[in-house]
Amino acid sequence: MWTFTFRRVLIMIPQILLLSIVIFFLAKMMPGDALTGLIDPNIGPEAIEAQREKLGLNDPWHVQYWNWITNLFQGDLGQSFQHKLPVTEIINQRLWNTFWLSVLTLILTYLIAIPLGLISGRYNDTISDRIITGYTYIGFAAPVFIFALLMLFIFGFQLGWFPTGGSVTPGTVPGTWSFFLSKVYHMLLPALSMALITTVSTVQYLRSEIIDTKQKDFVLLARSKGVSETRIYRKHIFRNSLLPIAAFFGYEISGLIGGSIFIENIFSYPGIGQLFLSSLMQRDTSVVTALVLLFGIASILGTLISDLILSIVDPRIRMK
Amino acid sequence: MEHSGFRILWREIVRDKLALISLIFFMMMVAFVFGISLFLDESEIVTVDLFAIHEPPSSQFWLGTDYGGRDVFGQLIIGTRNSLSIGILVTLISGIVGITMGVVSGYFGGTVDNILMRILDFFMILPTLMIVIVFVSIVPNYGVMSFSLIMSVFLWMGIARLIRSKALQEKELDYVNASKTAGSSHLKIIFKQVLPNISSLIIVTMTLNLAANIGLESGLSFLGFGFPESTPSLGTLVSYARNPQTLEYRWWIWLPASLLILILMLSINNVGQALKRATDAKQRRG
Amino acid sequence: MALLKLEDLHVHFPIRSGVFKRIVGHVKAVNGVSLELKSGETYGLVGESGSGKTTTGRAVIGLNEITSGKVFYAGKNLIEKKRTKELRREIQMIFQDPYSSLNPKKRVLDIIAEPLRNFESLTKQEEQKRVQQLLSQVGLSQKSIAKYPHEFSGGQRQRIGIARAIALQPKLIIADEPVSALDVSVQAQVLNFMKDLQKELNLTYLLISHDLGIIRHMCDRIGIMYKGRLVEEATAKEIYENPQHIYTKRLISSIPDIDPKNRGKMMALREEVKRDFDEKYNQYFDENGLAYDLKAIAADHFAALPGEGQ
Repeated sequence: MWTFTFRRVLIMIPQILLLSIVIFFLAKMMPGDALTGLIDPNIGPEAIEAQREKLGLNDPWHVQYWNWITNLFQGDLGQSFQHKLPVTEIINQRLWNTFWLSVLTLILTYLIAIPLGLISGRYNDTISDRIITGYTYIGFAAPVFIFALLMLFIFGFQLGWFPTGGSVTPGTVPGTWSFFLSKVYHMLLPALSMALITTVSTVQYLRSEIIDTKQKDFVLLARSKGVSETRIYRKHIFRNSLLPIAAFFGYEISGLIGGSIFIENIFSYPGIGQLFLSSLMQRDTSVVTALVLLFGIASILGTLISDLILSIVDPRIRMK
Repeated sequence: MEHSGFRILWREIVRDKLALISLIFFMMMVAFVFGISLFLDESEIVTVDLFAIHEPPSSQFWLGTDYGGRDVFGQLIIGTRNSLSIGILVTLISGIVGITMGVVSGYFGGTVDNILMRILDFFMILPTLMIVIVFVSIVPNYGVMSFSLIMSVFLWMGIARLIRSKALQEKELDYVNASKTAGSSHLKIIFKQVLPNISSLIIVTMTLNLAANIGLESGLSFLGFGFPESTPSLGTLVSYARNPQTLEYRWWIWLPASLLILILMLSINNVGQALKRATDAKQRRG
Repeated sequence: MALLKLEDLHVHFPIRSGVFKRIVGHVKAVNGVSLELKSGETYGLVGESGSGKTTTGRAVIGLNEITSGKVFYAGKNLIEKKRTKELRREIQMIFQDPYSSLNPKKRVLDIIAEPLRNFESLTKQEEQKRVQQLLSQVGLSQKSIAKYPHEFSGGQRQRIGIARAIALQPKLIIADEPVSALDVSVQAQVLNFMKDLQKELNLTYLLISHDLGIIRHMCDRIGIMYKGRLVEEATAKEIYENPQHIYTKRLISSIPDIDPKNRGKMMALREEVKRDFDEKYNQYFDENGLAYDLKAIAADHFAALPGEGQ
């Protein structure tokens, strides 16, 4: 157990290191550097060159990388030329919007997946199972952005049930109950659009897991001993099938990140997915690199958490 | 029965009405789109006509026009063709890379496997979508080929993993040992002996990947990081819906393309799922 | 001169463990085996599963890497020199499982012709003729050539495997449990056929099996393996009638006797041998549980007996 945990955590260090190097070079390749936008266009080339020298932009790459990474560890992600603000501050403004949107999406994902999976698995090959399976077929094939667009078109514009953009109704006072409600109201449609798609794999997993367990010897034995069907499902089958699902949320993180770029764009939701795209359009390199790094580390950590939980739930994983 | 692997795949599709309809639909779609586009004047379609902006569907423009006065129906045909072509191209490139990596890794095992798997792990941890978007925005001379290559670089890992684990199983079988004692080189054994035994898995995975890649390409085009506007893709048409006015009042521009993406991906997936069932004897229907 | 000679053969597999998957030890599958095969004879290698008999065979043909020791084939050391094409075609193998050893995606023609294509450049017609000739040699119909392996029974499949093994006219064939996957009714058929083939083509067999009945039926000389080492080696007659090592004795006593009248006697004998084995185990094996080096007891009879005095 401890060997596995130790190994798993150890593997993460080179992973993050490599990720940071890739992102560093990506940033170098991007047009525009920390100077772009800082300088008055009227300044002559010699002055720019002097400025470059001063900022260390002419140093060899490993020196630059070292400076960048040590600054990172001190929480200095650089300066956004577009907003004229430290990157940390800009990200901080948007981060919480994305965070809560992701949390709500995850909650909805499980709220949808568990009942559907259980019904589909327990009563397989009935009408309700067919309907659920049909839904998973469509959900598996449908790209998030198309689905979200249709949701917005139908429920936002045609029916007018939900707001069609923003994260809160303008003019609401932060800290009040109505502010909170307005936030949730704004998040609901984007979160639901994403959850209805991401939940599909969990439903499929749960269904096949339950159908598998149903035919295992220990279940047949319990049944032959006269244990009631409800009890068999509650005590033996659900417990066995639900535990791994709980561990999946870490793996979902990278999917959520990818999805948030689309969702926030479609619903004009001011989160970091939207910030990423707008910064890229504006060539705001330092913001872009910080975001890629942030998302990369988030998905590495998510995978780590899921791996560790799964290894506790299912010891066979550790052997690999 | 194993040599008739392709027959099993085919039989499963015929048994599964939905998959059969999907396959026929997909084939007709491909024939239709590629056929019609031969007769379309592409340059005329992508030419801006300021006197015909945002026209609703009519007998002249079957699906109306976009903000540049361009015929949406024509763009839909060309867009479908472009999306399909790039989907197939990306699937092939990433498939070939993935299959080679996977089969080499699984067959040789040991150090080779270790090194290749570390490379794979490294690609797996990258936030693919974001990096692809960043790449697209910085690559000079950006075009269809460079776009496919960028996508492929980050999409070979899934198939490589699957093929590797299958190759690991296969190489333990004695027919591989028999080939070794018969004097066949590793290269010959990999491509002539092992690969044919993995072929059905390859077909299944490539089919499902094709659907996913079409989705990804249209997603990137939707965000504005796919094809240039002069080369319309299905995603380009959908991207007009990022303008709320278009989304709310001019459905003819984005809705047909959206539904087409949905139906295309659904039908390819249906075929893929049926093929997948065929490779798993437990789930086979026929 | 011996056709095949093993000198102090070792095949070890690493065991990895811990955080960095370092090598923490070795499984000594083959741990110092020396033996000789004379041209034209059948040498039987017997032992329980895990005794290293299969690994020995696979090491000879090059499927397992040899850790140390020497393998001489017709006087040439196979380890020092890279196996030349000529050498490789002279040693062939018959595999245990006739199901997994034939590629299910290949026609019989492609399976049998595979070694021919690697070693000889024949035209399509010549190749087809050779394969047909091989098929008739192993008693299969000419029509088989275009069929796939799954269209044959286990015994027929093993014949296809044998046809592939003899395609290059080898001198030495390593047969690893050639019939253990077949129905008992087919086993004798295939074994007798292998014997006929041996006479016809002047083959030398290294026959690996756990089945003492088969070994007795087939072999001129027998080596008994236990935990990667030989414990006894002698002619078939000697081994069955005059076993010296307690492990050999125990193996021989375990052969079932068909005559029910002897049942009581056999039971008693088995009990006695088992008691003997348990008592003398420490005497016959060193502190690591390994057999001692072989010593000559008679001409053509060697056993790993303890001590200098015996």
